[in-house]
Amino acid sequence: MKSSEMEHKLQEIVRAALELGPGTDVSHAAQANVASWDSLAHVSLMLAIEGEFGLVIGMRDQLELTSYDAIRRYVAQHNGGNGGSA
Amino acid sequence: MNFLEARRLVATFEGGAPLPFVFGLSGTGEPFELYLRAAAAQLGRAADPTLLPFNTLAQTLRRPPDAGVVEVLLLVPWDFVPEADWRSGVPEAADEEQLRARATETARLLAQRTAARLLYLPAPLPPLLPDAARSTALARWIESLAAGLGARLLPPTAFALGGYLSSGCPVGGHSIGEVARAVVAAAAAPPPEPKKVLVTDLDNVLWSGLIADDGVDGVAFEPVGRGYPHFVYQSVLRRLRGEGTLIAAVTRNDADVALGPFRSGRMLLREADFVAIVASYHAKSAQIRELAERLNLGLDQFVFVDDNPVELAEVSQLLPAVRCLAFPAQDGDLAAFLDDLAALFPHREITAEDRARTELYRRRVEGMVPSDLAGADLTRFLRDLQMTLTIHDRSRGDRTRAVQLINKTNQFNLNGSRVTDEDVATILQNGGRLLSATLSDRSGSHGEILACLVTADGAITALVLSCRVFQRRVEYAFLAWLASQPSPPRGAHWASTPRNAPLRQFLGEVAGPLNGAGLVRLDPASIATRYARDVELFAIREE
Repeated sequence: MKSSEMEHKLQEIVRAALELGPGTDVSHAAQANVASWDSLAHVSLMLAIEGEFGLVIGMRDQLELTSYDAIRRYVAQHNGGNGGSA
Repeated sequence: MNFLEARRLVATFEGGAPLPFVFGLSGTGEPFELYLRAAAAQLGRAADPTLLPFNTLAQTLRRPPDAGVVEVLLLVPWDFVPEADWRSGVPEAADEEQLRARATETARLLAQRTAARLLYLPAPLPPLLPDAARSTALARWIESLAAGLGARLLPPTAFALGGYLSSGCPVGGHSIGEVARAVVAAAAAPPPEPKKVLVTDLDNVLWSGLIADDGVDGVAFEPVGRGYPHFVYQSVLRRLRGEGTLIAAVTRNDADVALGPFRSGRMLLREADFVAIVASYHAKSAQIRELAERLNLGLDQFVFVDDNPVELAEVSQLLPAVRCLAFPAQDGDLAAFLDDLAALFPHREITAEDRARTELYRRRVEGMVPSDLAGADLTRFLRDLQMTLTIHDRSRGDRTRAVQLINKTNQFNLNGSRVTDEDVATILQNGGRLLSATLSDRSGSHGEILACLVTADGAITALVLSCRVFQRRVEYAFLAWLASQPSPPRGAHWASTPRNAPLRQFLGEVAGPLNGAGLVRLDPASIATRYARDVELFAIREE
């Protein structure tokens, strides 16, 4: 999957899992600054990413993936190594 | 079905018939909600799931179910054995017997929720027991408990430890869509058919003892002594029969032998109370399947009761729709067992048709001959039993039990010949050997179950095996072991008797077709090679 496709899909997942509007910019989203990003939404987000990208996210990573940027880098790294190109 | 697809399905769903159900699991159920709604939408249904609060499944099982409410329970091993919950850490010490007792208690509670639809996720167990093999065996045993309850088994890969530890959701994102589909399919399925047929084993279930070895006068079924639990069991069967349940029996015996107690006139249940008494040496799964076809009833309407875990495993492996119940080994477990049994056949108003049902159905199974179908491959199950076969050289020392075994065993008996202690002494003085074997497994010792007398010229003159341990491949392993010893026997003095069909079947397989009585040639090298895998099922010790 190309980096741009991956990012597009990831943004769609993040918006949907956090119940954000269709055009919301999530590139700076983090658990600390998005009210709807609570623990339950985080579980849904992790499950969604696992399912969509065919990943198994370990416990430590699940606890650390608390911002869009961290997730983007994680997915890129585990999904073909396109992390730095965004 | 992934997250975005699930979102799209829910967003575009125009509505349909409501599908209300309670969804319970030991963990977080909320992440399933989207996927449950999507899976239901695919069926044109509007899911209305009620999620049990986090970690309340155990309490829920201790309350009676609400009438008319569909429950779907997603079970994991720690629902049966709480000590196995990864989130609680590994206990300092775990008593395997207590773990099994707790699991049995949970299984009993689940069995009482006859309308619940069960799914089982065979997640791995933490290292509860010091021996990894025993932990594996415990995991398989819990899985067989779930299967015996009619639970649909989910792929073990659906479990995700990382997610479970961090959030309490036991299913990973790669599988949550598929698991949700299974949950919705279970919720949408028609209510389980009430059970209609109770198939019971005979030896040590309907009566105490082994009819082929102990005879009619040696088995106990009357309300006295060791016969009491079996008398009470018969009385429950009689009541169920009166309420319209069809009672059948399957047994590894010859028909005339199996019918002896019924025809004695002393037993509570009569032959006429049974829709069929199937006596044969075919796999019990084959007997039950044939019975279901003859009765034109679904296997999900069958309940099977046996005391032998190997027989129960064979049936639940090949016929997962059949509800399997173990007849209790301890009298203290009888009340709970009878409760479970009665719960599967609910009380209802009894009609004249109910009372006549046995007779109506009996006509359908007249002349039934079970098809000669192979049973399930039980290798994995047998390996998990952790069997130890200890072979004793009884050529010297006390040989009382070995000689008794030769003289009281009828079914697996090479030729039916009885021997006196003096006969055996003469054979031994002339250079012969007397071997016996004791069997133990993870549940304990089965005692001395095999005896073999070999003459000085290398011919087996007596070979017997207790029918309590049929189906465990003991006979194959023993003969392969014997064939690999220095000076192995080259033949066996075979004779057909009215009751030794199991031996005939065995010897025909290892030595080729049997033509009349006499010395049957054995090829030790071939036997040792062909049955080497059976030897591997046992830890073999020599004493």
